[in-house]
Amino acid sequence: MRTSRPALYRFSTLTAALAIAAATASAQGTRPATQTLSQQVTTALGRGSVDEARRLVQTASGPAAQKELAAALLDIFEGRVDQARTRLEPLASAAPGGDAALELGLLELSRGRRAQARKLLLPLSQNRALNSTEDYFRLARAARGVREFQLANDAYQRIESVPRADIQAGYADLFLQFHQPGDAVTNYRKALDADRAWVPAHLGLSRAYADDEPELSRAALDSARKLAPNHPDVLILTAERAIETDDVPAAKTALDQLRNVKSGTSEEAALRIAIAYEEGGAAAVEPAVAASGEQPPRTALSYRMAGQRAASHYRFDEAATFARKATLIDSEDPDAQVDLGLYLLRTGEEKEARVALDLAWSVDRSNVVTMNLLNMLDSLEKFEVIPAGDLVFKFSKEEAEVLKPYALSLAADAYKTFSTRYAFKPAGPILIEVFPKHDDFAVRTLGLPGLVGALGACFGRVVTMDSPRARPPGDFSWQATLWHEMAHVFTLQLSKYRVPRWLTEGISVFEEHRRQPAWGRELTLEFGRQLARGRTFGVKNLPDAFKRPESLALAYFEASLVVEHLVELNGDAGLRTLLLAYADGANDTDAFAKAFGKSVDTVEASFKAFIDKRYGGLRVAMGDPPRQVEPDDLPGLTSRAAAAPGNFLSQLSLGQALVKANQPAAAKGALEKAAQLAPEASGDGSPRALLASIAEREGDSARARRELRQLLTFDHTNVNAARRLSTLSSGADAVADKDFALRLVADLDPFDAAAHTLLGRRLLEKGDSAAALIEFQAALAGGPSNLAEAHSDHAEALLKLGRRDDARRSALLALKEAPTFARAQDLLLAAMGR
Amino acid sequence: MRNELSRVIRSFLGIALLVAAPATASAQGERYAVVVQGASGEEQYATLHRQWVDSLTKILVERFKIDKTHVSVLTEQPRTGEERATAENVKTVLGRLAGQVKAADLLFVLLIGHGGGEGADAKFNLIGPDLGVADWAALLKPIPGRVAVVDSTSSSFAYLKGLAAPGRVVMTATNSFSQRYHTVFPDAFVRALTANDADVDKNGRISLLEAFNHASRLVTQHYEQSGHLATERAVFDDTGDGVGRDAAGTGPDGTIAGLTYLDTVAMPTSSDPAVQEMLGRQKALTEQVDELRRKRPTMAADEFDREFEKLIVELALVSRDVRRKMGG
Repeated sequence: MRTSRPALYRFSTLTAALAIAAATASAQGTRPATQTLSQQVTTALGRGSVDEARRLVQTASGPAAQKELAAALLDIFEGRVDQARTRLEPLASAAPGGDAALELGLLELSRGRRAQARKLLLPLSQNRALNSTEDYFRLARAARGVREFQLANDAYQRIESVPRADIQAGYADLFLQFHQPGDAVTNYRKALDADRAWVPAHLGLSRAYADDEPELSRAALDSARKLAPNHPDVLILTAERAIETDDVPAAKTALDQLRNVKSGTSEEAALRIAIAYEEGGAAAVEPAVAASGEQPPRTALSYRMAGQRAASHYRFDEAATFARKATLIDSEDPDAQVDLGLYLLRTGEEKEARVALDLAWSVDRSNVVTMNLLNMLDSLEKFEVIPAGDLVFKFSKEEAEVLKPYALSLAADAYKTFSTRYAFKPAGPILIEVFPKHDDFAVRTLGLPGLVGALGACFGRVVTMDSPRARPPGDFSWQATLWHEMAHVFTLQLSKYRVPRWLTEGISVFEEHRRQPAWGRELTLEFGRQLARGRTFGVKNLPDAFKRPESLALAYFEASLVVEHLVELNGDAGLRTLLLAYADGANDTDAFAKAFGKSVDTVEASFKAFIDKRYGGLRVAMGDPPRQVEPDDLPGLTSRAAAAPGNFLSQLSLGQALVKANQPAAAKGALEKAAQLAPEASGDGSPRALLASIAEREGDSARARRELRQLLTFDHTNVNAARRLSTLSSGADAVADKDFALRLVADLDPFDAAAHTLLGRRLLEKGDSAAALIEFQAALAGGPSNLAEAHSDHAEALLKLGRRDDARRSALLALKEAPTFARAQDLLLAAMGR
Repeated sequence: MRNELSRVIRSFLGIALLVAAPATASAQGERYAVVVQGASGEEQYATLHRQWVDSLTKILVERFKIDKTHVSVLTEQPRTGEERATAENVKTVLGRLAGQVKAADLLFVLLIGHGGGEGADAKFNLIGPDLGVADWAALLKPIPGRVAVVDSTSSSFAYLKGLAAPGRVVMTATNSFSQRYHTVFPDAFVRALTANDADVDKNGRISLLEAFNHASRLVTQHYEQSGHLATERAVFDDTGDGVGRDAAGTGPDGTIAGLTYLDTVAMPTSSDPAVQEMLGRQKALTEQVDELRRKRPTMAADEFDREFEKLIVELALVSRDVRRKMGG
C-alpha cells in the first residue's frame, strides 16, 4: 500500500519551511490598486483581449524590463516562442527569483525542455522570502512546475482568500490535476466571482464538469467561446471535444483557427495526430508526426494523444504502442508512463504495467491514478489465479472456492457458444478478474473509484467485473454480467475493435437474452413507456444515444432489440458478416449493405415494423393515464381504471391504493388486469408481487407461489421474491417451485450457504449426486451454519459417487465437529464398508 | 467454530473440578420462564412482538416441556392466563419466583419490545412506568437458581453489565448505546431455539450458546441480504464480568451458556444387560473422544487424526448397535 496519499486538502498541511516563512509574511493582501504592466497584460489575455494586451504593450512607458516582460507574455500567448525566450532570458538572468524567470521556466516546460525549465523553476520553488501575494503565487506556480504539488497547495492556501481570478483558476487547475473536480469547480467559481470574463476559469469549469455534468461542461465551453472565440485554449478544448464526439471537420476547423492565432503549439500537433488516427488508424500516425514538422515530437503529448484515441476505440495494443513511444520521447513524463500502465493492464500485461506504473510513481507521487492502480495491483497479487483452458480467472481468496465451480463452467460455456456462433476463436488467454469490492473493480477499469452504474467491463482480452458480493444480493445477476462481457470478447476481437459501441453492446445484451430470456430484458416496461411517448431512438440515432449518459440504459436495451431484428433478418451469419465488415474498415452504410444487402434506412423501417409487432400492445398499455388522480383518491382511481381498462398505470395504481387501504380482495381485479397488460413488471410494487402478497395473507400458498413464479420469470434478480417462493414451497406439490427458487437464490447470492445446502439435498434426492456435490462444496466454502451437517452432506454425495475415501475424510471432518452425530457416524461406517 | 467447541469441551474439566456454581448448569432442576412483551408503540410492532411471544411460549411449553404453570407471560394486550406488562406485575411475578425457584432450578427471562436510554437510565419499555437496569437487577438478585436473561430490544446494551452476575447468562441484542433501532434479534433467537442447524454439536439439543450463535448468524444474514447496514450486534456474558462477547468473538465467555438448555433429557438406560453394557461402552468411548479432543492442541495433527479415527470408528459401531437395539 502506498502510504503517501496524493490528495490536496484545504486545511493546512504547511511544510515546516513554509510555515516559518508564513509566520512573518503579510500575504493576504489583494492586488495593488495599480497593476504592473505585466499584470495588466495578464489580465487582458486572461479575458481573451489580445488587442487590449497589444495596446498595453505598445503604449507602455516606464522601465524597459517591465515592457519586455509584458511583451514576452504576449509573445507566449501568440506562439512566438523564440521571441519570448529572447526577451525573457536576460531578465531571468538578472532576476532569477522574478516573474521573468518563472514565465521562461514554464515556457520551457511546455516546450519539453525539462532540464532548462527545472533550472529556472527550482530556485523559485525554494524561495522562502515570502512577503506578498505575488510571492506566494509565484511560488505556487513554480512548485507545480517542478512537481512539488503539496508545496504548491500550501502556497495557494496562503492566498486562497485573495479574490483574484488568476490565483483562483491556478489553484483550481491544481485540483483538477489531482482528479478533485469538486474542489476545482469551487475555485473556478471563485475565479469567475472575481472576474466573470476570465476565460481559463470557464475552460477549467468545462473540464471539471466533463465526466459528471456534461450539460454544464458544454455550457462552460460555450461561455468561453462567447467571451473569446479565438483564445488558443478555447480552440484547443473545442478541437478536443469535437474529436471526442467524432466531429473531425469541426476539430480541423478549430485547429486551423488555432494555427492562425498561435502557431506551432504542441497541443495543435498532438490533436492533428489524434485526427490522423481517427481518419486513418494507427498507420496514419507516423506520417502525421512527420507532417507536424517535429520529428520526433517535442513532447510526449503527440503519442499520448494517439494512444488515447486508440484506447477510446478499445484498441489497447495500439494504445500501449503509442504510450510506449511517448515514454521514449520523454522518459520523465509520468503521465505517459501512467497511460502505458493503464493500457497494459487492459491488454492483460499486468507485470509490464506494474513496471510502467512504478516508474510513474518514482517520478510523480501525486497522481492518484498511479497510486490507485499500484495499490490495486498489490491486492490483485493476493488473488487466486485459476487457468482454465483459454481462460484465466482471478478471484479473491475469500471468494474463489464459492465462485470457481459456477464461474468457470459458465465462462467456458460462453466461450464455446460464441466460438461456434461467430465461427471465431479470439486471441487469448482471456483474463477474467472478479472483484469483491466495487471500487477495486472501478480502479482496475478506469484507475479511479466510482463507476457506479457499471457491473463489468471488457477490454478485448481482459474482463473485469463486480463479484456477487460487491453489491447487495438482488442488485444484479453476476452470471448475466459475465455472459455479457464474454460476448464483448468476441465482438471486439472479431471486428478488430472497430465495432461501433451501440452494436457491441446490443449484441452483448441480446446474447444475455438468448442465454436466459429474462436477462437483458429488465427495461422492457421503461421501453414501452418511452415508446408510448415516441421517445425511442431507432437504428440511426442509437450511436448518439450512447453518447448521452441520461439515455444510456435505454440505448443498451434498444440496441439489443436492433440486434435481435438483425438476426431475424439474416441470422447469426448476417451478424458475423456485419462484424467482419467493420473489421475491414467499412462504415455503417457499407457494413449494412454487405451484411444484409440493405441500406441503414431500409433496416430502420423494418426495425420499426418489428417493434410495432412485438411491442405494439405494450406501447398502448404503457401510455400515460387519461388523467391525473391523487394516489389516495380511491373513487377517482376506480373511475379512471374503469374508463381505461387497457392502461397499465391506471390499473396498477388502483390496485396499489386498494392494498394500501387494506382492501386486498378488491385490489385483485385491478392487479390481475395490470399483470396481463404488462407481465414484465418487476419489483415489490408490481402487480404479481402484490398478488402474491395478498394470496399469502389469504393463506392461499399455491396462488402465492404461482404469482411469485410468474414475477420471477421476468424479475430475475429479485432474490427476496425467490427466497419467499422457496419458503412457501414446502409441500410435495411444490417441489418444482422449490427447485426453481433455490436455484435462483444460489445463482444470485452464491454466498448463501443455506441455499446451496438445500439445493444440494434436493439434487441428492433426485439422484444427481455430481451436481449435489458442487452445491455442497459451495455451501462449505460459503460458511455453513452447521459444519457437521455440511461435511455430512458432502460425505453423502461423495459416497454416492463412489468416492469412498473422500467420503470417509468428509465424515471424519463432520465427526470432529460433532462426535455423537449419528448421521456422520453411519456415513463413516458406510464409507469404510463397515 | 472449532475454537468455540473446544473451549466448551475444555470447560467440562473445569466444571468437574470446581463443583461450584457452573456445575449446576447441567443439573436437572425445575425450569421456569418469564416472557415480557413491553409497550410496542406501533401497530406493526405490536403484531410482530405478539407473534414472537406466541412462538416462544409454544416452544417452551410444547417442545421443551416446561410446566405451563412455570411460564409467566406478561404482554401488552394480555390473553387468558397472561398478565399486563406493567412494572408492578413484573415485580409481583419475579417476587413470587424468588420464593419458588430453587438453587438447582433454571429461570429463563426474555424481554421483547423496545428499549431506550443509556447506562443506568436504560429502560425496557413497559406499559406505564418503566423499570431501570438497577430495578431489574434488584428483582433478579433474590432468585436462588440459575438465571438466563435475554434482553432482545434496542438499547439493551446497558443490561449486559447491569444484570451480570456469577453463574448468570445475560444476552443483549445490541452491543453499544448507539444501536437504538428496532431489532430483529428476538425473531432470530426464537427461531434458533428450534433450528436443526443451530445444533452445532449434533447432540440433539440446542444450548443457549448455540441459539445465540445461530440467532446472531441469522441477524447478520438479514442485514446482508437486505443490503442494509447492520444496526444491531448481539453480545452475551456468562462469566459475570459484564463484558460482552459476540458470536464471532473469543474469550472466556461461553462455558455456562454452552451448558444451559431450556429442555431436559433423560439418560438412556436399558433393562437388557447387553444393551446396558453397550450404553456403558458408548459413554466411555464418548468420554475418550472428548478427552482426545481436549489434548488436540498439544498433539501432532497426524497423531491426533490417527487416534481420533480409531476411537470414532469404535464409537460409531457401538452407537449403531445401540440404535439398532433400542430402535433409535
